[in-house]
Amino acid sequence: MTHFQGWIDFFGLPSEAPAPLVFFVSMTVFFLFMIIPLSLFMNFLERKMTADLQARVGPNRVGSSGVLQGFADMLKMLSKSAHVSETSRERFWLSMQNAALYSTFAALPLGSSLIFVNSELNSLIPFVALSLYFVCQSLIGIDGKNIEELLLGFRSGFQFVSGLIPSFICVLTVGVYTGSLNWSEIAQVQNGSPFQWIALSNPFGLVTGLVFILSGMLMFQTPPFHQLDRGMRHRSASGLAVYRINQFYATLIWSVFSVTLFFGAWDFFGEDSSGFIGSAVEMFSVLLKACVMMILSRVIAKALPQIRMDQMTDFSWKVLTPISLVCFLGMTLWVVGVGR
Amino acid sequence: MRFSQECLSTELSLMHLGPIHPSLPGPMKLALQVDGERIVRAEIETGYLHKGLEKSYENRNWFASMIPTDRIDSEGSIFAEMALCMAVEQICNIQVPRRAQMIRLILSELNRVSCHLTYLARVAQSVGFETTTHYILRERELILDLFELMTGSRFNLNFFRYGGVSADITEGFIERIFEVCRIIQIRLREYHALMIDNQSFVTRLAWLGPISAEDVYLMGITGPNARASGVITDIRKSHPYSGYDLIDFRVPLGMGAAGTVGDSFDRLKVRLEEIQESLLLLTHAAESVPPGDFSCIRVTHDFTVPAGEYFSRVEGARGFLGCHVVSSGDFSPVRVQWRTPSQNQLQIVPQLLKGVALQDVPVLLSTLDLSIPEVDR
Repeated sequence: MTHFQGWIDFFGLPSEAPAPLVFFVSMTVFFLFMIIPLSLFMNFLERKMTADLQARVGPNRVGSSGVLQGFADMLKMLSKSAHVSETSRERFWLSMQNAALYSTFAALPLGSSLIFVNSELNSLIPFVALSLYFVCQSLIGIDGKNIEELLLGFRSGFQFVSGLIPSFICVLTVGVYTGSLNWSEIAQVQNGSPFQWIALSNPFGLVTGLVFILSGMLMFQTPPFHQLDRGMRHRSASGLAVYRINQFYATLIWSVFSVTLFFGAWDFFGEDSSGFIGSAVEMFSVLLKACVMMILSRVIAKALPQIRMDQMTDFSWKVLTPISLVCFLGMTLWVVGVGR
Repeated sequence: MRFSQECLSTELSLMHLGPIHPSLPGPMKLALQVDGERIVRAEIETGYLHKGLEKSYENRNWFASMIPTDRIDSEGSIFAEMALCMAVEQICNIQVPRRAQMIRLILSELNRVSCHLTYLARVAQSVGFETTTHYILRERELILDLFELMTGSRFNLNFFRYGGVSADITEGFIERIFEVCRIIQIRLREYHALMIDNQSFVTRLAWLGPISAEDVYLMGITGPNARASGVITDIRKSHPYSGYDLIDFRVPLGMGAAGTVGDSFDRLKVRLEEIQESLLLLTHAAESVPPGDFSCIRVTHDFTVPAGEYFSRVEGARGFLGCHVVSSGDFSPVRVQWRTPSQNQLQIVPQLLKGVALQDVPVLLSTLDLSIPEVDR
């Protein structure tokens, strides 16, 4: 049985189907029937909850209570004609960016038999892919037409690096606790009750989890951290739609990583998860936790002002990074002294 | 020598913002010379909203002169109306009844609270604090509803007339004032918690764009911006008008609560305190509206002003608003010239922007409370 047997079961493919075929089919179906509808629904949910917080109504016109607002917005954006033309270089970097982002699907921990790359260090693979994503973003800015785009490119790069370091240390901390950097083994350690989750098993786990989540918000420019590029600079309408979906996917995969590392992964009250139903339950569990985390962080962020870029990087270097190092040391001592 | 020739040369970059840009207070051009993220030099260019308002007075009769007056600053139209009426009343030697003076005072203070609430919402929006923006605008709606109850309009009230006001107090208006004052008093505590006690909000504003007392005098800055720098200046105290001499109130000053005296945080804090004082003023004024006439004369289309000139001054929401009226005894004014507070405050913008980070430009401009319509007219 392969470690992506779940995907084979989902689509009824033969067991001997080649991995690239399974990967291609899985990614396409996941993107079209999961990511896009989920992004539209989550956008609606966030707008409604934010509106409630701000004593407003929010979308309420399209569909029942405005549920179809996301579809209307997407149709509107796709139907607008492009008013700017991207250079061939910009198109190249954008394609590279998309490729880097969606390559993380190969190591996305959606279930015990839903991971394509099951190597010993597969929890670090997304970092490499996301680093390439932000390098491409910086290169788009450096290749830009004016000083604003150049500054934007540099800012994105600096901001990403400042969030990458503490989050990387957090992953190493989890590796110290679980004894492995493999998604499946990390999830295995957290099987059972919620008190087995790394975030709830010891104080260092909880703090490390919070640092990891904040670092991700910083890297992906999620509120309250200042959003430098809202995707509107010199992009066509369809380019903007792709940019928004990319933003959502990037935030979703970070939430999935957070859930897998700190909040029990795909564990569903310790139930057995084999077969088609088991894989579906595991995926549902991971995505549900990830979506709850995304919504909570967005709504809490709405109650805070945006933080300036230099304040963000200061926060990362002077607060998050030292705390993550302390937690790394503390977790090591905990494992040695108390045990897992 | 060879080493210095091989050194890389760096040049400053030029960035242009405007005339239409979300970070600007209105249509204006801002040319910024930047060294990376820091602004080295700034130049401003206005005039994009010039409507020829001052010229248009010459083609209107005195009765219709209230219309361009409202457009000097649509947010604070009542102050311009007050200034024009006071100037004309001085030339004509008209005594405004006490009841009319109190009504004018009430509407002025309501407009002041409304302008300051809009300021707070704008500053919150500039730092990305959307939740607070919506809360504040919700409270501003209460005041705009009061305007609508009394005058029929929410902005551009066109309510003051020479010799008084155009109509008496609407039934239920005074009771509504008490209710609105009570609600806003409660909400002010919320704003205090959301803004003054919020460390990340304070960090965005503290030490940003401080205006020294010396600059206040040199540039002729007035109003809350001057008071935030510790300079006591308030026309309502120094040259009381329209019943302000009858009611006691405090003039808040900037104390350097978070960063330094006169910085953006002080400007915001002073306005919060001024809202508090205005609410107390409103309550006293509403309790002491005397019986009597709401106007001593009836102004019609053929109203004339005897030959003469006068310069009136009022304390607007943004500062000292002056109106110089010249009449030759004809049906139209010869000249109506305005001294607006934003015109002086705009002159200090290039100085304040030096050394500021690019991301702080919209925050700084919003805390200065500039009104481009007032500048360009």
